[in-house]
Amino acid sequence: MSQPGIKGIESSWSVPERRAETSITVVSGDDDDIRHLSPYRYFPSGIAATYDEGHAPPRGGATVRGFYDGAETDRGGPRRALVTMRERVGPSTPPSGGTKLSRPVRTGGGERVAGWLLRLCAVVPVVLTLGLVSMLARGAWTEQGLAMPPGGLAPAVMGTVLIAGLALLWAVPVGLAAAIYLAEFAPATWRRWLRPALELLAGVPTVIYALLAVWVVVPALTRLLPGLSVPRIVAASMVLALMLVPTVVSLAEDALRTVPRQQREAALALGASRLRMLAYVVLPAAAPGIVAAVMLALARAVGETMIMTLVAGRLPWMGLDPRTAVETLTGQLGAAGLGAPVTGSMYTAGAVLLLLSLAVHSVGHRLVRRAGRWS
Amino acid sequence: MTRGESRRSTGLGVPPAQQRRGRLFALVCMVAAIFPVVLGAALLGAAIESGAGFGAHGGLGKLSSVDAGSLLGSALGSLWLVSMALAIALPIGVGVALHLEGPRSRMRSLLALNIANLAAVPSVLFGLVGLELFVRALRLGHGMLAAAFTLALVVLPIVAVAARAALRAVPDELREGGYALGATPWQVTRQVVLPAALPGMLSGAILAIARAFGEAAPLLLVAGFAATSSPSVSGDPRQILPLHVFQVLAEPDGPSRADAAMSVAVLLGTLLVLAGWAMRLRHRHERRRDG
Amino acid sequence: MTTLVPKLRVEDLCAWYGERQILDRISFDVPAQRITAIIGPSGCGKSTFIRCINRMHELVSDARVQGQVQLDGEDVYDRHVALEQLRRRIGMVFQKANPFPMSIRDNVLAGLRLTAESPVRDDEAVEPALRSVALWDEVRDRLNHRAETLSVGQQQRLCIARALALQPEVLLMDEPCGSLDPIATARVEDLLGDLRERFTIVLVTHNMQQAARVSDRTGFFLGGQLVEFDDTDVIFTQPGDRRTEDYITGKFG
Ligand SMILES: Nc1ncnc2c1ncn2[C@@H]1O[C@H](COP(=O)(O)OP(=O)(O)OP(=O)(O)O)[C@@H](O)[C@H]1O
Ligand SMILES: [Mg+2]
Repeated sequence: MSQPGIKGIESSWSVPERRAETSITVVSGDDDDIRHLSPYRYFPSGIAATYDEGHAPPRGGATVRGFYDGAETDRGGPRRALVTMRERVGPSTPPSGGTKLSRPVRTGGGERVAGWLLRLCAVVPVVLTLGLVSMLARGAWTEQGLAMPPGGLAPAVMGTVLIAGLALLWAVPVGLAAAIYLAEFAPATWRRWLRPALELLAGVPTVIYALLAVWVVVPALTRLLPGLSVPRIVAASMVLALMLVPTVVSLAEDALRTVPRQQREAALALGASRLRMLAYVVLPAAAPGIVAAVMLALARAVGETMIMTLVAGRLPWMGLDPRTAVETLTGQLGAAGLGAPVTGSMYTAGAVLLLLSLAVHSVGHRLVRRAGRWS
Repeated sequence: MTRGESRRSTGLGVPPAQQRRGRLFALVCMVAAIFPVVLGAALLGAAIESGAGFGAHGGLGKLSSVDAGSLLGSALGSLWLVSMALAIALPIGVGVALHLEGPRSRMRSLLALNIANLAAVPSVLFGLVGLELFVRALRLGHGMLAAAFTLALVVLPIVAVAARAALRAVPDELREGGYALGATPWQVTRQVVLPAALPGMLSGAILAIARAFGEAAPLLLVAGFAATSSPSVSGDPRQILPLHVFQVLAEPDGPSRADAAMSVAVLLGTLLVLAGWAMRLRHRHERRRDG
Repeated sequence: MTTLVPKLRVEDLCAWYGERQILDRISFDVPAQRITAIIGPSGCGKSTFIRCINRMHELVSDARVQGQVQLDGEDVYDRHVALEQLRRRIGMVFQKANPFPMSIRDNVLAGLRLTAESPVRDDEAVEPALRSVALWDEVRDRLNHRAETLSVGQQQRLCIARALALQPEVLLMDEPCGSLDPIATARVEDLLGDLRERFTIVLVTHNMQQAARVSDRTGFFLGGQLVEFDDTDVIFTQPGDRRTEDYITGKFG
């Protein structure tokens, strides 16, 4: 079967390796039989062919001659058929006959206008981000280098971490237990009331939490522990914890709920008690989501301003032990509300705050996404 | 766990020790769920009582000394500020969410990440941006307008995230139904996805409103507490409800406690109304979907 | 094998999800004004295949297609094809009824409205569409009720009506009876018999009796390949391939 122009079988390729825009159409067959091939049987075992020149299909396509191995005809068993094909690469010419398919549906100009408007909207957050970063950088940088408060920023970072950590110490056990109750034990009616109530708690403005600390928590603690002056850090972390519990609850409950029912039922069907099922199946499976809940709560705590400024900060008249005042990052910024001028060191504190809260948040965010994908 | 427990009991009853442990655990969890709610409610009640002094002074307590005019002014100021901020943030936020709904691309996933991060930026920092951008660069001064723009920055990512969540909650079958009928992506979005996502978006918007009402931190920087200059014509943001409360706490000789208590009560009342509204919307939507 | 005018011609169609190849060089002709059934075990790529025909496949983010699908000789994957036009000419009904959250009337008109420039108040389209799916008498008094209030079988017929209202030439049906009870199934099958004269129908089904009852041609898919494609009675009485025979007689899977 030697034919002029065919150098021999140089490459065989199967369809998956071809490029998406490439399509091969059979132009003509030398053998009459080709026309009797049913379409399905054209390429039962791939094509063996050569290009006229080189191996790669030249731009714009090329004419290819080759064999179909194992082609079956109506008249007999497998045989090899010789055909000529034209390979098209890239855009093809529109079909000459009915061009209906390529007639666009008229949609008016709205489509394009809407697209541009949406794109414009999408630019805003990007600009906002760039603005935020550049302003913090510009404000923090002075001729003397990075602007710093007199004692440096270390105490503020320490104070922030301390209060937030202490608050989580209260909030996480309570929040997790509450989430377990809501996800596993609560009757539907209780759940229907408790969840919104907790959400309400999350919606209370933080300045009101600060007020609760100053007006109620501190006097109550002073009454309970007479003679001791209440450290600010305790009062601040307590109200902060109350504020964080709903965050922990709602995220942890979501994590618990994404554990598939089949897994719970599998455990129960093996004779496990509810408690065992929780401990061995549900909690491990929900662990990433629960850690994420804690991280996101921590991010919220770190960025909280009102409680940090008003309760933990240096306000002498509040009935808290003034010696225990704590510097915090947000407290430095909040000082502007107490009449302090806005200085470069505030920008430095802001930059550190941004880095800290984004670091914590992105760990949590990634975990949430992972938890979501896992389920 | 000891071996004794894991051995199968012969009867069908659960071993009593195990049963007791399970109940105790459930009880502890229940208390944990109820405790924060009760504590929060009690503290709020005690705070309002301590400010208004119903018990000690009888009748209206110290409330008779409240300056009703200034309270009304504060409430209206808050309302005005929040309306302006939302009027800016809502359309842009929804637009961002709609843009993110488009065909997936690397740009879009970066943008989505950017917005998730913005939503996590502590709100005080937007105060710094507002101070630099609106108060100083655009010379809006320490007025309502600068405060409104700043507040819009704070709620923009929140609105975008909530709107996006609502859009993604629309089942793909509906989208496919639209495409299979030959609709363009924009037609599917506008006529199929948006109507279906509307209740979710609305409750997201309500939560954003609630958030904006109580937000104080970024306004500390733009409201001009340090500035002695009189506020601009658009109103004085220092008078809005949350900042009013802040001032009571910050200065011993600031506004009276009774005034602050009333501000707190108004804020909480607004929150309750908004939350109730959002909840009803959600319920109605769920019922409709199930029915 | 009788010769029929092909409405759709599938050539060498391959499809991927990510790196995973789902369809492997599928080629056959779908005759006009006939019902073509696609059968095969679960996961063999039937849904993927018909989603390639009206280019719904590419809505999945990492999906890829190769090969040709021709509608009346025009390549559906041509660069110049307007997707909307294509999908209007090739209607689709999904396995799970997916009415839009609006009224029954609006659902029927959805196809017209979705793709229209100006508001459509063309209520005339509603009755014939609903009649052709034998739903008119059941819902004529509550056209303004929400579609979700219909039974699942009625919802499925509504979805068929929604597709028919656009007067497509081809109707792709992916297990349209998948979630219906035997009575509702029988109704849809009757309906298929009526629609057969007017449309070219590609029907994916798990139900072999259904394929045998309603279709003219049948293709048997296995592992992403087309094992056999022939007249339905040939496939069911004297299949040319062992695997087809095994599947039809229930010897595997
Ligand atoms: N969105 C997707 N992403 C990745 N893989 C997919 C996706 N959809 C389907 N697949 C895979 O493609 C293969 C073929 O799926 P397809 O839905 O076409 O099968 P089918 O023949 O319709 O099956 P069934 O009869 O169960 O509906 C399956 O192995 C499935 O796992
Ligand atoms: Mg399928």
